Amino acid sequence: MSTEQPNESTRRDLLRRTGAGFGGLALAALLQGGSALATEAEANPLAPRSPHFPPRAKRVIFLFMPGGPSQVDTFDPKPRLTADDGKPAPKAYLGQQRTLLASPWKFARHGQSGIDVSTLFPHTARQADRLCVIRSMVTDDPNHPGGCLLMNTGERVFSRPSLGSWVTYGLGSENENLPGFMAIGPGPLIEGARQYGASFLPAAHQGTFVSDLEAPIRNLANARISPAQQRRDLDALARFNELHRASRADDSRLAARIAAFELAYRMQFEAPEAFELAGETPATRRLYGLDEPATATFGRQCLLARRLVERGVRFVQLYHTTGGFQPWDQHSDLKGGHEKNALATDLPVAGLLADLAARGLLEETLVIWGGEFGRTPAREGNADGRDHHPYGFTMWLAGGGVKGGLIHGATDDFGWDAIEGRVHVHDLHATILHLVGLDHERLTYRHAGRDYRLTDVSGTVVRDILA
Amino acid sequence: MKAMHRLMMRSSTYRQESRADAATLAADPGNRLRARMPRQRLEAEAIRDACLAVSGRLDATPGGPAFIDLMTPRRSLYLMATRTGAKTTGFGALFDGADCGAIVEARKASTVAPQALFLLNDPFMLDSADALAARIARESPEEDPGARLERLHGLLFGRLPSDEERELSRRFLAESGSDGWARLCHLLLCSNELIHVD
Repeated sequence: MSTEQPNESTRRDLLRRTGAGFGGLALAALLQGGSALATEAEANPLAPRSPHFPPRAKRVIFLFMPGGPSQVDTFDPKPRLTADDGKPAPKAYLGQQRTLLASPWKFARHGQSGIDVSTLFPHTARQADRLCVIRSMVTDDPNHPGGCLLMNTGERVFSRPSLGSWVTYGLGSENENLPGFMAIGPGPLIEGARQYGASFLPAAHQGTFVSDLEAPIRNLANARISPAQQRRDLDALARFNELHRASRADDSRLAARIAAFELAYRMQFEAPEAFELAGETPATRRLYGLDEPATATFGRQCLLARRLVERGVRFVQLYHTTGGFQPWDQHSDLKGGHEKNALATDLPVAGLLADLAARGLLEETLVIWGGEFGRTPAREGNADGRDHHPYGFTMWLAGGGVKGGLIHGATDDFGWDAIEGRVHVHDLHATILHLVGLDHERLTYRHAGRDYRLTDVSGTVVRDILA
Repeated sequence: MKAMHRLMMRSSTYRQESRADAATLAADPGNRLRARMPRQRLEAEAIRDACLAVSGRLDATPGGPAFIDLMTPRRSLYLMATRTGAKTTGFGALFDGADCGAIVEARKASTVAPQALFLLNDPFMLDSADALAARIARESPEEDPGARLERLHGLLFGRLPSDEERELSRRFLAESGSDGWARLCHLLLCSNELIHVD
């Protein structure tokens, strides 16, 4: 039996972190009977922790494109698909014979590296040399709920901690006055909170979901009394709490809760500042397209992402949910739909990359772009759209620790199956964790009798894309 | 199993309180020898129900459909919680409520600043404070602040206020305006004593 003394160790932690912030005060309760040991992580789930090895990226921005952007219309040109337009597809899909559908967009090579980008993304194309395009992504689930859950939690059926939760669990947060993991999207998400949930990890690791871009964090202001009045109330509360604590001095959680009220008071002034864009220059507003109706929403999301990573938020996930909860799902009207989505996101995404680079943040920030799967090279029935496609699709990474101007892997002549350098979602997750300095096989959490990891029993780091 | 539970829960070890004298603390600082009960923090539902109960608003009607709006004065047991998080308030998760999609064998009890933000600023808490103040005013004579204070401490903590608490409250009320009682009620609803069980 261990001789460690839970109350003693949490009290020491508390003293060490007096005045610590947001999650810094999270002290796990002793389980009934007092048998559980209050480890460092339990005492302060969001305290910064050392990675397993030196990281290449300190922060992550995941630009999630729900619905499934089409690979053959964006970053994976297929001349054979154009040539065979209207001919039978090489394979059946869901037991149906379908006909090939050429891309309505032209491709060109961009930058020194000559990365292929279609005319859908003229602005992103100018950042081509920063992109590490993975053309050989594969996933297990051809439907949105399971696909989104697999991409964001590594599991398509059961509740599991999300990618961002694992990252903050592994690394803690650099800014204790803001949440360590924020998910930002103006609309509802398919599968909702599970996409950014902590599941069985300590609740402090769940993503803070921001759907109202104007009022990002709840209860940041008191509707009735002024800050000065609230200050006086808090002083009185502290005195009542100290009287209560006098005969219970051995319980550090009581002191932690007193400090939590002080921190909450400070957050009311510090958190809104991170979301206040008034101080941004006209040039920055243009860079993100804040003043154009088409780009205003996702531009605002991208600019918020930069402001948050600048302030040390560990993981920011942006959901492109303007025009529906899965706007990239073009079963029909591929041309109109993808053009609308590209118009809304292309300029802000390119602006974000350029801005991060200009501020010296890109080197230590990993940016990820993609959806839960791709789209079939074949037409769906007689409609002018494409179906869901898990067998080969494109995502790109940029920034901290990845080779810019690189194309990794390949699909076949039609853009159907990934045939070279296949990267399963588990492999992508292993690689993301590797880039932030975490070994996906060692980042575990004991739950319900066994150690769990983000990658379950799979995942191989894609070493070819590491800078 | 029930017999074992009964045996354990009726034991003098289990029925101890959380406070301990200096000698006990020195002899068993980490509570490895079970010299006291670990102090319990109320669960999410009990925190909300406590606020409703002390302010005299708790609707204890059993059964019926789940509710979505936190301001509904029904027991938190009936607060809507869905697997996907749709139509679910953030209240449960804020105070370590279990994820509906996961198997959770024991809840944790975290202490984070957003909990304090909820208690300080959420309309539910402001309304609870108002209702509690109104209840005190209704149930004790206006001319006797001491009696009101005793009623307030009785409702919240099941005990009389100490001399220091009487003095603290007297000064707080003297420095406050007409909303003094509501604000005193509010800050005592935020107190450590209300949500921890010795």
